[in-house]
Amino acid sequence: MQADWRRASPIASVDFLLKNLRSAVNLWPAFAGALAVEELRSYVFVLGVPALLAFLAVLSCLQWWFFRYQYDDRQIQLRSGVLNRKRLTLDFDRVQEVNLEQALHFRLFALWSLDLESAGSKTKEVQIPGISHRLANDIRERFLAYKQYSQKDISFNADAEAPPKPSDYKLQLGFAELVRFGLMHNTLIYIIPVLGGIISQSGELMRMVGDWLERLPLIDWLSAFIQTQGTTAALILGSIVFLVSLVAIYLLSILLAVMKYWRYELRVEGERFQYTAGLVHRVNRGFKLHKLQCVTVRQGVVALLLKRYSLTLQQTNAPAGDKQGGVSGFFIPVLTQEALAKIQALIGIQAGDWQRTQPAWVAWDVLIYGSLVGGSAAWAAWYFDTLTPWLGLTAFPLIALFRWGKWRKSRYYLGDGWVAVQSGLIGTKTTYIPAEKVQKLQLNAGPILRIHQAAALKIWSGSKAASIEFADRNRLTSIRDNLLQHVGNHQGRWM
Amino acid sequence: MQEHLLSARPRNDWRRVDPRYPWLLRTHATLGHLAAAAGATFFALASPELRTAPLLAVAAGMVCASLAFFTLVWSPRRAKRLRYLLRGRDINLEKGFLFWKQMSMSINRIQHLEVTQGPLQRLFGLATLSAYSAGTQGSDLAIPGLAVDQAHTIKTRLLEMINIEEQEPTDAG
Repeated sequence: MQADWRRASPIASVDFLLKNLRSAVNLWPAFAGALAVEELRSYVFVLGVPALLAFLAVLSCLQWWFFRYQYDDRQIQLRSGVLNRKRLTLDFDRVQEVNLEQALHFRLFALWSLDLESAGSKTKEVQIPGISHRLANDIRERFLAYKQYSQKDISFNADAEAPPKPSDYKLQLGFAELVRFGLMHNTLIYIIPVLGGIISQSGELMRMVGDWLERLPLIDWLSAFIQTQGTTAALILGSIVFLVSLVAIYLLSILLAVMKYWRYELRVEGERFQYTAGLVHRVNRGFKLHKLQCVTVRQGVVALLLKRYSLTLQQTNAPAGDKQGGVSGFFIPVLTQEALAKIQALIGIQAGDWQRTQPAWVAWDVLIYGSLVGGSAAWAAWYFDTLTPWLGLTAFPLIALFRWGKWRKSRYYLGDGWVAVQSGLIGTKTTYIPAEKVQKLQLNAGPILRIHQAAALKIWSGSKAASIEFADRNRLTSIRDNLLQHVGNHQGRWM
Repeated sequence: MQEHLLSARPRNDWRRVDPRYPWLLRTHATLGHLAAAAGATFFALASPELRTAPLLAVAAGMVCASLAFFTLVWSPRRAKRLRYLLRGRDINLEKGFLFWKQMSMSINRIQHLEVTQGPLQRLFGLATLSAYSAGTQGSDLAIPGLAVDQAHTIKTRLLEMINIEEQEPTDAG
């Protein structure tokens, strides 16, 4: 029986506003252009920004007003859109996961956002913001009842009030671990230099920044200090400023990590992985092992020093919105070696006999890239008559060092039901693909590879591709044959 | 056990594409070179300093040499090296000589199939059969240079094999 069309809580308009603000960030080129023109700058701040905010607020209210949903025992329907009206029907049969999220603005009113992940050629995520826990439970129970009736697997994961079942494994991340994650996963260290580079391209903006700095009393003191104390003091001062900036960036990264993964708790029950986390924005996310397409284990430079790892479980073509801190898939932010081994055992990954790629790869890359880079540098030095062209020769040892470092970390193995490919320079990234999830295989052999009886093998899973470069051709052919046979014989569910 | 391995299959089992395919490649190459020559002519007309006899002769010679290479050498070899193999549980494609590639896709991973014909392919009665999987970019497998009937026949055969796969008993969860 069809239920009536329902409206979400008015608080959901806050959700719409936040989404619209995130979309409005895409207008930054227009703003940057307007800010660069002195005549337009006052208009931007006095009229432009307030007008945009007012427009978005009205739009968000209208979006909430036109957003309705309806559900019954078989499906859920959504009506949305202000000018461009949409009507979406989602059968429970196509729903794979049901997740709950509780943002800060919903927490105050005991409301939740219900996320339904659907399967299909264009994986879609349907979200109903601002509904009560009672309503979320009702939708869940109808979904579970439908799945039981159709003898499909149960895939709901977020009732915090249900008594917890005995776990196969539980992992809780304390503050210290989150601090470690903040140190390991610091994207600000890359964003800030890029941002600085972009700002430095605008002469107008640089002038604004320069004018602002000149007005600071500290700058006068620094200028006087450098003039009296000389170059050495200036260098020491510059180093101190650099270190302080680095510490500030890392502290900010730690703060963001703590806020995102506060009270992170992972539970593994059979083939179901589930975690809850978040200080301000609470997230409850699940993952069923039979949907696993790829496992990625990362250990960057800082993680290597801290002896920690990050692990991501990916399913087929994860929804565009399924990003946690810039990572797609089900993410476990920080693991010790023991915890990683335990999780890998639960997933079914077994240790294998790691094989190296051929060292001839290093020699050829040094020859080719060294010649290109060194030759270009030598030509530039000769053309501009600046430094000696022989400087171009320094490219060879530098590239050799870089390539040797990468070759050291380049390994692979075919295990019992898994293929693993590792890469990296100082840190490592290891990709594990279940053999039965392989979609396509490609063996390549160019002229250089053929000289060394070598080949390259590319393996596509449902979510990611991994490549084994410059390895023994017979061994890769054998791996390809084995994987193809394994996939061909596999008749179970694979997504 | 060995005969199930792809690498153990004899070369004769691999099938070549239609004999008209080299002519399609030659036509593509000729049209491409004509476009390049037209572009070079435009630049020569627009830049007086480029309109010197030796430079024009060199440019014309390069275009002709390239055209001769692609039509007389590259096209027939490319077509000759393009082979496909349909086995009980997978479809395979091999191409290239200098840069050799061998692609494989299991039947039970094919999401959908397409037979496409561009305007030049229609001229020669040829088509491309493409098999798409659920993998990321580049995970499709396309066999060009097939006669239209042959492409549809292979597509029908693949669909039958996929249906047989789906009807076979599956493992529990």
